Amino acid sequence: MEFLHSVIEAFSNCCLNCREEEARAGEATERSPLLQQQDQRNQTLQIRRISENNIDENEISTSFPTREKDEQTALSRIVQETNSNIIDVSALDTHHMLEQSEYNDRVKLYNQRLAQQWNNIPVPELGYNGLLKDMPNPEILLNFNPTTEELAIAKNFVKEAAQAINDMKIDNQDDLVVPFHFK
Amino acid sequence: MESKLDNVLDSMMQTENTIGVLIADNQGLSYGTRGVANSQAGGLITAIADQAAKIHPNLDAPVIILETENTSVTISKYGFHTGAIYKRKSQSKK
Amino acid sequence: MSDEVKRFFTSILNKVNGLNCVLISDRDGVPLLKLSKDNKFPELGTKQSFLSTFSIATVQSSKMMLGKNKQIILCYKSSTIVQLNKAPLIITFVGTESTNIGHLLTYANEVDKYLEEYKIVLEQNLI
Repeated sequence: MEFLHSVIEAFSNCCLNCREEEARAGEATERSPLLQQQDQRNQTLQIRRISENNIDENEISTSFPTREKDEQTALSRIVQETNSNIIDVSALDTHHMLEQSEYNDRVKLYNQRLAQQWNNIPVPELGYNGLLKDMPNPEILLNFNPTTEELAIAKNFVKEAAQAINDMKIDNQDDLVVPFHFK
Repeated sequence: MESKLDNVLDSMMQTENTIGVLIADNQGLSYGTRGVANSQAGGLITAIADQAAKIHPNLDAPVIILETENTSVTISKYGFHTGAIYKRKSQSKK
Repeated sequence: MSDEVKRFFTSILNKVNGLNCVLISDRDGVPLLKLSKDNKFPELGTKQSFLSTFSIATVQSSKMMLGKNKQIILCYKSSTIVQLNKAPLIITFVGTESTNIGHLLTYANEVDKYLEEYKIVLEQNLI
C-alpha cells in the first residue's frame, strides 16, 4: 500500500511541478549532462545487481524491505526520467523573467570578470585563410579563357535546377500523425 | 518530390570532366549536391555570386569561374538560386 | 584576447551578407558581448526575454530523439535570427530576411575557440 502511495505521489508530483522539473531538467542537460547520466547508469546497474543477488541467495525474508526500497527508487527514477523526456509545451509560456536590477547586476559582474580575464587566455593561432593563398603560376590560368559553350552550360544548369526546385511539391506518403517510438 | 532536381543534378554530373555540382538558395542553404561538392560550401558560393552581381547591378548576374591548377568551379546565378559546377581541367586545354 | 574575439565577430558581421548584429549571452539572456554593424540593436532578437526563450526551446527540442539541439534558425518576415547552443552560452545572430544563412553557419564551427574566456567568466559565477 505504501508502495502504491509513493507511486501516486510521484506521478502527481510530476504533473504539478512540471515547471520545477523542467528547470531541473534544463540544468542537467546544460551544465553537467555527461557525469549525471553516468551516475544514473551506475546506480541502475547496482540496483539490478543487488536484486539479482537477492534472488540467488534466497534470502527473501531478510531482503524483502531493501528490495522494495530498491524498486521504489528505481521506479521513481523511471518516473523522473520519463518526466524529463516529456516535451512540455505548457511550460514554455511561463519561463521566468529576470528582474531589471538582477539583469543590471549581472551585466556589471560579467563586464568586471571579463576585464580581469582579458590577458590570461592565449590568443588562438589563426592561419591565413584565403582563396589566393597559393598560386605559383598564375600565367597558366590567365592564358586560357572560358568558352561561351561552357558559360552556356553553366547558365542552363542553374536555370533547369531553379525550375526543378520551383516545381517541387510535397507528396503525402505517410499518415499525418506518426507515433513516436521511445527506446 | 525532388526527383526532377535529382535528374538535373545527375545529368549535369554526366557531362565531361565534371566532378561535382551544387545548387543553393538565396540564403546559402544547399538544395542538393553531387560528387566532391560539400553542402557547407553553399553559403560561400552564394556569397561570391552575390558580391559579383553587385559590380553591375543592372545587368544579369555574371558567371564566375574560380580556377586552381587542376580544377575549376563555375558559379552561376538564376533568380533566387545559385549553382556551382566543379570541373577537372582537361589536359588538352592547357 | 578580447580584441581578438571582437575582431573575429566583426569580421563575420562584415563578411556575411545581410547580417546586422551578434550577441553573446548567458542562458538567461544577459549579454556578455554585443556587436552590431551601425551600433543599432533591433528590438526583436536582442531582448532578454527573447534570448532566454532559446534555452527552453533548445532543451525541449533535444528531446525529439534526434540528438542534442545545436542551433535554431528563425525566419521572420523582415529578419532572420540564428541562435547557436554553446552551453552555457548562447550566440545570437540577427540579420535581414535575406541573410546568407549558409555562409553564417560555416563560421559556427569556428566560434568555439573564441568562447573560452566567456565560459570561464560564467563558471566563476556559478560557484
